[in-house]
Formats: sequence, structure tokens, C-alpha cells
Amino acid sequence: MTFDTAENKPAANAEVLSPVPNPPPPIPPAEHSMAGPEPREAGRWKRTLRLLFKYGIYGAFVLLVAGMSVASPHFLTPVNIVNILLQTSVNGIIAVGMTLVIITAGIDLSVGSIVALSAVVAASFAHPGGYPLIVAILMGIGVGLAVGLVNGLLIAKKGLAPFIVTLAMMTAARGLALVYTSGRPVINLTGSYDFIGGGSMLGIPLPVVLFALTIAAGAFLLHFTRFGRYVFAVGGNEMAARVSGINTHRILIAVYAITGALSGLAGIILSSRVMSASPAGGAGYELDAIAAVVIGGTSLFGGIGSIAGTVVGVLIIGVMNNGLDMLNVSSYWQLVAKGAIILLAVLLDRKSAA
Amino acid sequence: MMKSFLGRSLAWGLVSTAVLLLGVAGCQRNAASPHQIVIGVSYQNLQNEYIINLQHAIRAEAKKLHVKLVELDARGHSSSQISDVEDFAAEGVNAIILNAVDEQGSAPAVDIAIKDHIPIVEVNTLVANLNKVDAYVGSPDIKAGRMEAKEIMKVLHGRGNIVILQGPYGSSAEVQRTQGIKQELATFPQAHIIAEHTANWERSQGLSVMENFLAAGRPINAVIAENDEMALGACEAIAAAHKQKQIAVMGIDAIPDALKAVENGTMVATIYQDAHGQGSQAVKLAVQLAQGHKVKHLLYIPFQLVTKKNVARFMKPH
Repeated sequence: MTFDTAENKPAANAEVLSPVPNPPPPIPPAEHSMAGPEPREAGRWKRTLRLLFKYGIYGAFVLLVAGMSVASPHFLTPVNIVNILLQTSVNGIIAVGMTLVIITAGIDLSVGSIVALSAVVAASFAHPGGYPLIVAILMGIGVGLAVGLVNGLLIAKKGLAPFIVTLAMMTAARGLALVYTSGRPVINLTGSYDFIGGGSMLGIPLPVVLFALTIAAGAFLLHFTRFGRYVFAVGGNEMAARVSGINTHRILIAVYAITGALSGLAGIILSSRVMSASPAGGAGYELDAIAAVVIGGTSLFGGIGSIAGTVVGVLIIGVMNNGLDMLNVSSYWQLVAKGAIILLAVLLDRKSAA
Repeated sequence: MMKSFLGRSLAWGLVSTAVLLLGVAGCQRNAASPHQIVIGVSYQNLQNEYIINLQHAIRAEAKKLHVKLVELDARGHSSSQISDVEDFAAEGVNAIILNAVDEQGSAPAVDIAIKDHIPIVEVNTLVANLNKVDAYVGSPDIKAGRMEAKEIMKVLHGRGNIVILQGPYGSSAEVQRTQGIKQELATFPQAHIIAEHTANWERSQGLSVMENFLAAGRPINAVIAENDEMALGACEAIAAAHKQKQIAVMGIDAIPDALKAVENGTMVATIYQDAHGQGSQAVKLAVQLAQGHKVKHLLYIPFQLVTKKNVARFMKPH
């Protein structure tokens, strides 16, 4: 483990300095010389293998989609593709935020509880004859943003471990959602609230549009702005980043606030899709988001990662859920399969980064 | 220096708040007169709407009979339920009402009460050592499962492809309801269970599971969901696929949204489980046991089928 971190750090700095930030995963140039002494045949074999590892996750995704298409004729149909994108939009939006957090070598366990809290607050402003739709949306995102800000402030200013702060927040925010609703789901929502989860734009369902916008904004922010370079720098080596004049506190607060706000948006979409908001909803979403980010090649040690990888991670989980359901695989085995994919992804990631 | 001072005062603040809360709780407890009966209630999970309704019924009956309640929430973990019952025994309550989390896992809680000679009433769910409890009040979930399957078979004239949406695997209600549904369907040779999948009691999961089943292209005639939330999720998916006419959906619990769905025809039926009857009877039995009376061991509160015909009776006036 420690060995891995030591290896990752220089790569992280390279990412910061490079003028055109590249999608993942960075491979140290030293690697080819290591393959040198091998016999020629073995060398070629190894190179092919390495290529596969380099595009490991993307390759695995293509293989998975191909496999599912062969197994079920209904898999690669427009209806089902929209289906998968709809189902992944909630996890995907959270995972984009989680990518930023994990690149700073942090973690956010509170996202699932924020989803529930934002959903119940937003829904409570969406009863018929109440407020305009925009109020419900702003309340939901605002609550998420506020919780994320508290996370960020405690982590940056107090120097507390992100795991502990967000674990505490996961419990407290869940409690607040239960207190706010007395434990009952918020129902009887106005018809217009359905637009967020059920509406569409140019034929594309609105949650998918929001997911796409989040990806675009996240990728731009992370890979094409100074803020993004600083996020990598904080994760690569926080001390070095601070010494070189980066306001690391501001970066940390911002990434947790962004993740909170995105979780709030996810909560609104979720409650709008089912036209009710349960204070017990969103349980376990933090793990789905973390899984997607890790499958996508972002290092839990910070400094390495990309939005593109996360999107593929989200899609892999979504395709697995959808495809295995369609093939009527028992849900017991589905859990085993999901676990295996996560492990495989991390193994691929280690190979390609080593 | 400043930082540690801040940290320390924060810690002291937290500790003193906790002590204060304990003090308040203690005073409330001591306020019970020496002759007042104290009943400990251990709920399986107060994040479940049905259990919240059960709690309301128990509280209302306790108020009526002037008994004092000490209530604890096991939050879905049988291990915390066992320690909750240990706490009741240590406090010396006069009777315990147990709403078991898990058939096997909560059984030791019953043994603790028996060892300390505290009468124990099981309500709503089952425990493995049900023969040892002093009384049981509930509605057998196997029966609910059978009722569901029977009603669906009536609608489908005894044939068709059926999807079952199950509760969290291993929970008492999921095990019993699945068993009941399958027992009943087994008597219809032309009914086929083409898929069964958990949606963990959640509407959003019912939605996505059903979306996937619909996308798979096999014809589906009915969805039997083990609670209303999952049934309502399935309805959303079915509506999005414009198949409301072809697929009959049914649930259990008779929550307000489901009653509305039965009324407007989105769902064919739901099943009403009488939280009020269960809760009030449990308190009555616990009081009688605490006073040393003998009571009937098993008290079944019947489930009631809710269809379009009788749905108005179950809808509360707004």
C-alpha cells in the first residue's frame, strides 16, 4: 500500500505541470526499459497485455457491452440505452463530485444521507398549491451545498480526517431527514415536480441531460482550469501545494461543497422520478459512487483520476445492474459479480499505474 | 493554544449536553408513580412507515390505560434489539413488547425476558421461539402473500407471467410473504414466475428493477410486490412503457399513495395490515400479563383486502 502511494506521488505532480491535462491513467516512462531484457516474443506479449491494461477499464466496458448484446437481443436497443442512462444518472451525478473529493485524497461518506435530506426538503416545498418549482429545486440543492460546506470547513480548517467528518455527517444528516419528516415519506407532490425526473429535452430524458451537463462541467473544471490543477496538486501532496502558494483550504472546502450540491441535485431527481421522498432513501449510494470512481481508475490515495474514467465506472455498474436483471440472474449472484468487477478494476489500475 | 482551548470547550459542551439529556430522561422516568405499570417496547425499525403507525397505536393505547412506556428503536439490527431488551430487564420494567427484527436473530431477546421473569408480548413479526413468548399479536405474513397471489390469479383468470418484487432478503416479512405467494401460485399450473428480485422495500428500486424487466422484452402480466412502495415504483416503470393496460400490480400495506393508486385503477389491490389493532392489543395484553392475568397465547388480527370496491373505507378524510 505505502509502496503504491510513493509511486503515485511523482505521477501526480506530472499531471499538474503538464500543459494539456490528459485522461488517465498516467504511465511512468521508465516502464519500457524494464521490459527490455525479456525475450522478444514475451516482450510483445507483455506489450499487448500492457496496452490492454492501459485502456483496461475502457476495454472492459466495451467487452461487457458486447457480451450483454450477445446474451440479450433487447440489450442494445434505444429504449434500453435510455433506460441505462436514466438509471445511472443519479449515481453518475454524485460520482462526478466524488471524483473531485477522492482526487484530493479525501472521501465523502455523507452523500447518500445528503440525497435523502435534500430530497425530503425539496419535496416538502413541492406540495400542490405551494411554492413554484424553482423554490423546491433551490432548497434541495441549497441544503446539499450547506451540508457539503460544513464537511469542507471541518476538514480544511480543523484538519479532521475526511473519513471521520463525513461518517459523522452521514449519521447526522440521516437523522435530520428523519426528524424533518417524522420518519414518514413525503408524498402528495405537485404534478410539475414530475418534470425534473420525468420530463425530457429534445427527446432526451431530463435526468440524462442533467447528468451530461454535470459530466461536461466536471470535466471542464477538473481538466481545463487552474482550479482543477490545484485539486490534483492538493491530492498529490498537500504540503507542497500549500508551500507553492495554493490556498489548499479553499480547494478542499470547494470540492466538498460541490459534492454536497450535486448530491442535493441527485436527491431531487430521485424523488421526482418516484414522486415521493423517503427519509430512508439513498442508503448505500456513497458506496456506489465510490465504486464507480475507483473502477474508473481514480486513486484513493489522491492526485490521480479523471471524470472520463468515472463516467465509464458509472456505466459499467449501470450496465451490470441492467444486463444482469434482463438476463434474470439471481440478485444474490449479482452482488458477487459487482464485487468481482470492483476488485478486477482495482487490480487493473494497480497494473497500469505500477 | 487557541485551537486546543476551542476543542476542549467543545468537548465539555458535548459532555455536559449529554449529561443534561440523561438527567431530563431520568427525571421523566422517575416521574412514574410507584404503582404505575412500565412497559418496555423494542421496535424493529422506526424508519419504516408501518412501524411508525404501530408506534402511534401503542402510544395511544398506553395513554388510555395510564401505563408508562420506555421505547427503543433497534434500527434494523437484531444485536441492538437484544441489548435493548437487556436494558429493559436491568431497569426492571413490568412487561416487554417485542417487535422482532429478525426471526432467528431476535430469539435471544425472548430468552432474556424469560430468564428475568418479565412477561413478553411479540407484536407484528415472528420469532423462532414463538412458543416461549407469553402472547403473540400479529397478522401472519404467509397469509398476506397467499391473499396477494390469489387476488392476482383472480384478475388474470389463473394464468400468466408473474414478477415478484421481494423485501430485503432474510427479513421476517420477506421470507413469509414470498413463501405465501409461491404456495398459492403453485396451485395454478398456468401461472409462471418469470422473475423474482429484491427491491428492498424501496420505491426507487422497484422502479429500476421493473424498468430492466420490461426492457428484457418478455411478456409480463402481473407484478406481485411484497409492499406498496415497491409496487408504486413498478407502476411508474409500467406507465413510462405505456403498459398500464397489460400489467396488473398489487402491493401490501395500504399506504396513502397505494390507496390512491387502487382508487384510480393503477394498482388492482393492496392489503391492509391493521397497525392500530396490533398496537392496541399488544399493550392490552402486556398490561394484563403485568397484572398477573393469564392471556390467550396467539391473537391474529386479520389482513384485509383493499380493492376499488372498498377502498373509500380505508382512505382518511383530509
